[in-house]
Amino acid sequence: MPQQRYETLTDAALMQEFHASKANHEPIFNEIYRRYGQRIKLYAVRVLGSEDDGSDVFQETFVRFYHVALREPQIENIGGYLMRIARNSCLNHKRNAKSTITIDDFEIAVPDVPHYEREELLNLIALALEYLDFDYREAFVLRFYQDCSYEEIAQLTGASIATVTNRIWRAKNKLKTILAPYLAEIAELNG
Amino acid sequence: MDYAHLIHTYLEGTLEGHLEEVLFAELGRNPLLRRELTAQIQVVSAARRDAASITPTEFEKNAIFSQLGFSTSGVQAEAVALASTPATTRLMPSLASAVVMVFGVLLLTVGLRSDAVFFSSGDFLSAARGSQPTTTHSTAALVATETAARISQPMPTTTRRAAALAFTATSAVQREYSISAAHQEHLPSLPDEITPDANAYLSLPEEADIALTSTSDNVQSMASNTPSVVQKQAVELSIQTISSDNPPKTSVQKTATIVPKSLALTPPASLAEALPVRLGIRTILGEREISLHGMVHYALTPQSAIGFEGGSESATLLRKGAQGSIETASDGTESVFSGTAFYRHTFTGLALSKVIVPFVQAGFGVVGKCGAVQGMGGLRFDVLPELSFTLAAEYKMPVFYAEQLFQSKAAFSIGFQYHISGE
Repeated sequence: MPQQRYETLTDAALMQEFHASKANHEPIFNEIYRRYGQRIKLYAVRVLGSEDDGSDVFQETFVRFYHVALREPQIENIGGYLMRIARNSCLNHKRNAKSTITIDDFEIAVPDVPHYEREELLNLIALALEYLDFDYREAFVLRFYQDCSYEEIAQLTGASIATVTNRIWRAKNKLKTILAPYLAEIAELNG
Repeated sequence: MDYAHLIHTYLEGTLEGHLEEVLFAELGRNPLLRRELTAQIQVVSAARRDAASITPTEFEKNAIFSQLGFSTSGVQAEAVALASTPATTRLMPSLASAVVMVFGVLLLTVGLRSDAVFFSSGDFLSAARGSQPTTTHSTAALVATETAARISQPMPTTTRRAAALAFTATSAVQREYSISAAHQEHLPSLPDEITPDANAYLSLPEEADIALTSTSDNVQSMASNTPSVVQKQAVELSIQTISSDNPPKTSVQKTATIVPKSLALTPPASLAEALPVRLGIRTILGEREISLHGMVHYALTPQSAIGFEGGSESATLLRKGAQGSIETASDGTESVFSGTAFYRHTFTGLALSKVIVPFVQAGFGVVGKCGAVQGMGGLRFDVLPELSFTLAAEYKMPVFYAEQLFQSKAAFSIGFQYHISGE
């Protein structure tokens, strides 16, 4: 089947084709990678706050998914499945990693903010994210990087919707605090 | 009432109607609240912008696919679609590159052989007798003079630091993790400071003044015109600037935790990216001669590289007649220095197998006192990740001579290349 045909199939149909013949494995896996590669990479890199660790988890996720897919006859939601694998891997990394400081532990005083380019100011958020606790960072990434609904986030993380709502608000508020001097600059740039 | 939270709820689309009216009324009165609204929007839009900047790399895809025993990058998977494409279309990019390169060499050859363009005397024989190519020479001299003057001008310390930083940025764009000797030579010496190793500045606390002085504009504009790697470096510098001038109020230890973390460089994805320099030797097996060359390749992309080779080469001598005319009969050989700057294009898409890759190369340089252009084509055998050898056929032609030493010649060559590891 041409690669273009796979692009039109649903996740469930894709998995049916996957199990129909071993010859389909590679092109279908290629299609899965095309659909969800960016999403998984984004989640892993920003939630772990490290390009290296994120890349490791990203690769590990797809390899593990392939082996799971060989055993599972039906997977309806490949994206959700991949996210779950990626999240477990991220939690494992988090357990092994050194504890990070939180925004509550330090203050930034910037009496004279130099003029930065807008691009750089916007990129500061990646650094600021690293100073959030895992739960807050994850909630923020899922909501604003991946446009997940509160229900989806709650389902993935196993937290209640109320907890998710609170985490997203607190994460955004903390990021706003960290980036406050720069955001003022952005506002000035925007006139 | 927490209006900031109301704004958040409103932006999330979950604010109840009556609270929306309350919020809007307050927003109309309170400029600080309007600023809060702007700030929240900016945070979210910054996140969305950041999200767009993260994409999987080819290296990661290759790593995943190879772990699963698939062909790299799903090449086989796309082969079905490619099979329906005409071969001429598939090979068009590579063929186009080859045609452009051959055309370039021909153009260079014809141009350099045209005395009307390159020699002020307009007399081919006078050039052969040793007349200097005045036009080219004077232009080169002018450029050299200007360059020397520019280099010798004293620069303020901050400017020198910015220059060193700019070289770091340039190297990051080219995925080079060490500054070449040539780059360092162009930096003026800093008598009261350390050698301007650009990488060293990333760890110097003094770099704080880069972003806080007038030279910060250079750094910022540099970052805005370069890919995200460089932008991140500039952003990281900005963060460190803040930390070093305004240390956190809690403790020094926390500052130390923040700064190195923000300065972590992304490691190279592959050996070729780590340090794309190859060293090699090449032996030319031509008619009545065996010459030995050393060479350095610097990879611009995985397919293209520039480089220089130099060494001993046996040139077939021509005898000059009494009237200055040139006899075509050979008169023996002479071993002279040969140096050639070249461009090499490797056709990875046409690889015969994973380890046999065709390439073409075009270059120009000198053989003794004679200018020469060179075209080469052959195969590279990657026997090990670090080691490869080449078999090639080449054609070399004299085009520009103070003293003509050899005729056009074809030869075969065999070479070995060692890829320098960045680790």
